[in-house]
Amino acid sequence: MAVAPREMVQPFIRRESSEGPVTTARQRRTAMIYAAMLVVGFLPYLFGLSPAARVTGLGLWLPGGGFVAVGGFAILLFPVTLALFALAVFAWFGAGMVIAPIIVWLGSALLAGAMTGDSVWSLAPLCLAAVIGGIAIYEYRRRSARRTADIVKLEARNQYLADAIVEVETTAAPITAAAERELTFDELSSVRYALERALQPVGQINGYDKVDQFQTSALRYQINYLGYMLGMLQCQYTPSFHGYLSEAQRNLIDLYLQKQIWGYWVYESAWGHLNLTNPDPAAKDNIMLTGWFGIQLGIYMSNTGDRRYAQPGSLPFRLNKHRVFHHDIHSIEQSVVKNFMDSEFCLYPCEPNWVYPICNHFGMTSLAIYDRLFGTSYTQATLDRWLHSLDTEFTDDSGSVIGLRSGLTGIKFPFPAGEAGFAIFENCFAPDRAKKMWAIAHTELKYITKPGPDGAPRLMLDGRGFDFGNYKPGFGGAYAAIMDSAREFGDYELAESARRALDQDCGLTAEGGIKRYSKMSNLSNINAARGAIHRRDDFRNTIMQGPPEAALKGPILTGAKYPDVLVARAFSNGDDLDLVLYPGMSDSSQNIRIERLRAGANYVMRNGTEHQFQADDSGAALLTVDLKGRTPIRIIPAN
Amino acid sequence: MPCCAFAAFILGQVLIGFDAVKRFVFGRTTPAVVNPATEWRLGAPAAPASRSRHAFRWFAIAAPIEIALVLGAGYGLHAHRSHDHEASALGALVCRSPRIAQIR
Repeated sequence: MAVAPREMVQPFIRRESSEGPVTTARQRRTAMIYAAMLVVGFLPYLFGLSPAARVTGLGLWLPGGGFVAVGGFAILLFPVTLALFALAVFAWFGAGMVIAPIIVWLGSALLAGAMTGDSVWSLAPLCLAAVIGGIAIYEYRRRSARRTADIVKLEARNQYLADAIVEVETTAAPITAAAERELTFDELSSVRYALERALQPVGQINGYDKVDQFQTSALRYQINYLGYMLGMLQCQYTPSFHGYLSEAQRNLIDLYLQKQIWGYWVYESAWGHLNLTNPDPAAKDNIMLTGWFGIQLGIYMSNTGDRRYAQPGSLPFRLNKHRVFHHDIHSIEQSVVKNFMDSEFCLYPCEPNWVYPICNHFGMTSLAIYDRLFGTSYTQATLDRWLHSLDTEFTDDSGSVIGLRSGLTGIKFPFPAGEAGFAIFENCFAPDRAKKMWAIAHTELKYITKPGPDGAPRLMLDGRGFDFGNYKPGFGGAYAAIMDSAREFGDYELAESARRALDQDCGLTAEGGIKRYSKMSNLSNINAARGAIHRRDDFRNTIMQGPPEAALKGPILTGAKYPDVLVARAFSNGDDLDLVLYPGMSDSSQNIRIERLRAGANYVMRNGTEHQFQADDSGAALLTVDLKGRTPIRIIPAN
Repeated sequence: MPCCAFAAFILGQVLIGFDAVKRFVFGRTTPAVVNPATEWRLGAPAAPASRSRHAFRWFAIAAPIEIALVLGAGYGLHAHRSHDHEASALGALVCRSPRIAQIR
């Protein structure tokens, strides 16, 4: 029986406190500020000030508390204010609008003071104190119960972890060799879903979900994931095909620079940072842009050798005709590094004040690919402190990384997170940790794996679900993400269970040769498409290795018309080109252009017959091929 | 009784408002339906520009709450001023009527 390396089987350590020192300091500061508000709020009573002052003071105890003190009908405004305050907190969470809860709280206190008559309800302070006490007791008991449950979970994980790691290691499928990398026609139909969206003219955003630009349904995330999917496809299956596949990735990068994609930051920077003069999207915070976009840029540049986005000012974020923020991949990644180093948590916010560990995983992954491309060591410089902070400030008592923490107050905010989501990124820069995370995910996902209607195992979640891509009911997003992560770790059995769930529940259709799930969001569909072509370590290798070196020097397929020519495989050993093409519409003769041949050299194209041709002075050749179903084509030097 | 009626009015407005915005934002509880975004094909006519419905939805959430808040504040201010007016009028009446002053 295989034994897992000792360092991988480090048990989860039960900590004295579930909050690290920075979190504790922020929470203590928050508590002290609230205590000061209680004291200041009581001072008018202490000094016998006017009724209006007493009411305003009590308004500092709770949002709308002043209305309780006004008495009479005004008491009805207390629950109204609490509801409005809840909305304001949601606005703070969703869009970084830190001023919203402050305005509601202080505004209601002032309004209550203005409404005050000659007297104040005498029982108001006691009533409010009882409410505050009740909330405090409820919260304390809730947290205690949660901590107890998490510790039980921790102990259970420590029991099974060693065996789970052995299991995922021994059952993981082997890494697919380059010689075997070829998309099936069914997988090509999934790829077409992404290509259709990426090949539309820049500026058009048809086929995307358009809901809001602040949270998970935002266009920018859909663009990022399209880029990751097409980039991983190119790196692992068609590294010697540029043409419309590279064009699609460039289109997505150019689209990302449009104000409709990144303009949310103008608002968030204003109402979150109180910054009205410099809404540079790659300055402070906003790792949901820099980290995510950095990966997309890095993958494209790694696949193609195209360094255009390394040129100064090559990524202009245009605000209006008078103002543009010039960036390039260097300034994007320097923003990530600087924010990591400046943040007391190391991990830093997306929206102002909100720190999402998952987005910080994107940030660290972007540094990993940047380091490989440009020979820097940003990952090495930041990773130790980053991991330490992740473990101490952003991990709960069960050993799981939390979803979200307020950087300002230190309070943990409910946001879904899971080992499967983090593991795929940690596989790039901390693979041993990733394996541990995946072992936990693999074990705990067994509880939702059940026989489907055909008897084959499938994932089955209870309830209505929630698709983060468009905020509609459904588990498609979860199934797609699990399938994608499972494939990264060679857990094809679990991936198939997820795929069956998708096929049975999410409206599978392949009309017009494009495979999609009609009951899911665009974002979830993109993840499902990536999951369909994903093999073991594909994402890790796309980030950490890139395409074979020969692919960056040898012949490439550049000219092919979409969708008439679909490319299932494109590899070069340096002198040759190994292609597998499919007709996207119907069997037909199609022209293809090959570049990076040796200028003037003679070549042979073999595709059932042999055809000799000569490369022109630029090392290019235009060829006509008969596409009939799966069409393998091999181009080799004539000698 | 006007006071209770007004209380019911405010509460009713808030409750009705919440129910309406809940339906407006989250929709009725229905099974997942086809997402039109997934149906689009390259080369198909551009989809009609869709407004950010959620901007309006959030407005719909805030609006009834704001209305209730303003109405309540307005009523409170009105009651406050009415009380002051009555107090002044009573004071004038007392001053003009020595008999009332004696009784008091």
